[in-house]
Amino acid sequence: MNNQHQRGQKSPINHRQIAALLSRSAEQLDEDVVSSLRQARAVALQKQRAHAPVFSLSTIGHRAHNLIPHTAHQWLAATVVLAAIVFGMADYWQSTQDKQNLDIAILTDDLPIDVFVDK
Amino acid sequence: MRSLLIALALCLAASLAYAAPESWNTLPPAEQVALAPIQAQWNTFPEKQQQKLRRLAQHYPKLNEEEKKRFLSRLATWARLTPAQREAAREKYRAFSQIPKENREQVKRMIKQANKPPASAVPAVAAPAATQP
Repeated sequence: MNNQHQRGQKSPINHRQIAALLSRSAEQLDEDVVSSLRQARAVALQKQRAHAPVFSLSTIGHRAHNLIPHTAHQWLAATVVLAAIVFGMADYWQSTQDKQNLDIAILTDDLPIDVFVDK
Repeated sequence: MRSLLIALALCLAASLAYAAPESWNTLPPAEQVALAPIQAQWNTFPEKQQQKLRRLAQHYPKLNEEEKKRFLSRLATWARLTPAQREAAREKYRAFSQIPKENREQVKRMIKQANKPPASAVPAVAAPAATQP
């Protein structure tokens, strides 16, 4: 009856007590085990920091920082890529303009359109 | 560096891919005037062609009266052509405009002469009428 009553309630041992029990048993461990555990903890914490960055304004700053070239080599590569994109777009725009001007010329020239169109 | 390239590629792709379809009724009135000859077919044209035709229509207000007439009378023919036919026509026009001006005028005269209705056809109809009384 008492047992059932206890099961219905929360466990009498809470996390602080568990931590205290673990600390007490840790005190009984020998120095080698303690030192290797401490080392493992430090490694685990370091890994966690590297893998789970907290999102904040500084994260955005960090990402933006990643986007900016750092070395001269990266700057050169970025400049070449940007220049290629700019020239490509300018060329595309120019050829579109040329085509449009030709189209207007064909549509309005004093020669009939049939002269230029193969049917 | 890789993320910079990806960002640039995305911007470029987005700017090239954007082409909203436009129904006839939502076209600006000035464009409707210029595109009137192809109103009936407008909704059947692919988006890209609509965009190109709209860009042509934007030149229309700058044309003189004679050019406007020609534009309106030729637009339907132009819109019906395949992209390859249009490109061939541009190529011909480009080649023609590179001929020296005098020769060009000469060719124009020859073409106009050839395109006139046969000279014999006119008197054939007119001649009997003139001799009848």
